[in-house]
Amino acid sequence: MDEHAFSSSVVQRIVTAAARFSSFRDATDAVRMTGVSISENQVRRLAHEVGRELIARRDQKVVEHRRRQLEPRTAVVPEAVVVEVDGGRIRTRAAGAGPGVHEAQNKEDKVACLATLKGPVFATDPCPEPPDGFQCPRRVRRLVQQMKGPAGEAAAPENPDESPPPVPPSDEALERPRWSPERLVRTCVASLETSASFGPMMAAEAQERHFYAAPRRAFVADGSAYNWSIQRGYFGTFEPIVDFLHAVCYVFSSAAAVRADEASGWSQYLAWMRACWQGRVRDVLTELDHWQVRLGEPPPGEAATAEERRDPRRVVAQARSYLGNNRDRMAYPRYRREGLPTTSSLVESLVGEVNARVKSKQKHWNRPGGAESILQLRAAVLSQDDRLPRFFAERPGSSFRKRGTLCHKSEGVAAQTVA
Amino acid sequence: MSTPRFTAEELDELRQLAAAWGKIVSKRAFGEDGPGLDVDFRTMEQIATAAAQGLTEGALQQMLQQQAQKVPDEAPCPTCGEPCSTRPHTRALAAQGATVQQAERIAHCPACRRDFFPPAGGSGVG
Repeated sequence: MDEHAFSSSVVQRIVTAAARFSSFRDATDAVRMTGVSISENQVRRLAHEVGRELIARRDQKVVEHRRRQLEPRTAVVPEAVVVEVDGGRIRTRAAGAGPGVHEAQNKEDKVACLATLKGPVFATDPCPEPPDGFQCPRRVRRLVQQMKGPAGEAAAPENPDESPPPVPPSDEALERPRWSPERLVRTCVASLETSASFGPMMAAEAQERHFYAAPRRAFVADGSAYNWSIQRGYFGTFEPIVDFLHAVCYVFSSAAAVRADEASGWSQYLAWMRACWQGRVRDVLTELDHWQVRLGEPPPGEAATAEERRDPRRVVAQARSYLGNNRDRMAYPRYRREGLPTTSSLVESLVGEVNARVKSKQKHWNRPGGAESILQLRAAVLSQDDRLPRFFAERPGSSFRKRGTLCHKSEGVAAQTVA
Repeated sequence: MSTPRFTAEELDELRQLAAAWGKIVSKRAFGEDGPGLDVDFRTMEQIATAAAQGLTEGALQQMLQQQAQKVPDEAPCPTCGEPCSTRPHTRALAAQGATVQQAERIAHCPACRRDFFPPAGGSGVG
């Protein structure tokens, strides 16, 4: 028991509800339905308190990992593992500035998915031709719109009123029959910290799950530079794989930009996409180089308008840069033979699940740390490792209880305006 | 001190014991013959829930009281280690299925100028 007038198991239910439901208000209603009398402020305060304890525990594990004192919590060495990382954006506000939203800013949250995999290895490429999903115009266009970034519209600053981008279709939806590895157990690491701090958190989680001992290891991400800094720094022995879906988006955008009409653009996309699928990225780069020469170099400076962003010179330059920087991480036929994933669909879907709790029009989290604690709780309930029950089983009590009644006065820890 | 954990079999045994007390509850509510045909399930459910809540309250209160009695009259302050005298204290505690008056002991450290609650067995953990 702790200083609250709730037993440990009731506190566990309260913070689980706070992490599972999309707002503290919904969580409070859910807890009340179980017969526990509690206010929204109490739910919020308890959630942040436990979240802060999870942060402390996570940071302690990072220190132990750095000192090489962190032991795996399982004796089982997984057959194959993947670490995927991606980022999202959440809205924040200045803390202590009174009711309402002040100095609204978007902050990037980073989400990592660590999953064990099951699946065979192959002597030859089990899927040498691209699946139908990548050859269907409607599906590819939708995919490109969903992924946004490489489609040419992505560089637009985030509109505070836009809805969160939908999760792109998974491997399973795009590819049949299934040759890609099957996910077994997933755990999640999420934080607003910088990549320099996030890498060690991921590494500690991987160490606890015995990932470094697995015979087949992969690290999948999009082309963001910080992803590969983390990979080089903490997952150097993992096969670096750039997400195929992101590559498809760049290829589609550049094919559409260089051709005069839609039909020839589609044919060009099919040829380049097939080349990427078959690991012939250098061929695509050579052709893009020729197109860049023909079209001319992109104008200097950032594109300010949508039209400037659609400038074929810019689109081709972006694709050349993306594919050029990542060509060594695009040996997709070999990855398929080795039974490794080729898309970051696991983390894309996980980001969607995290966002369902932390991101909406009404949610503005206090800077700097308002969302960090709730991210820990959300990551805990999305992880399939009983993280919260384990935490509560080991959570120490307090000798100093501050209050003796069920009615607590509100403390200044309100983390968001409406949530 | 580590909390003794009960096995699933041991817990099931306790559940079966409590289930047998259902006959007593039924007898107390409806007499020897049990509920008539005019009693709907909702009413029976209310009775069972009230009985279960009472059982939870009674069991928790008894265990907490017995545990509180085992706390010594004097306990060292967690901060300075100075021995301080303890006195009985109760507070409302929301637990699964019931709210109980938790019996415990409280102490005051004059040096640190704060109250503290000496842990009773494993209740300090969790």
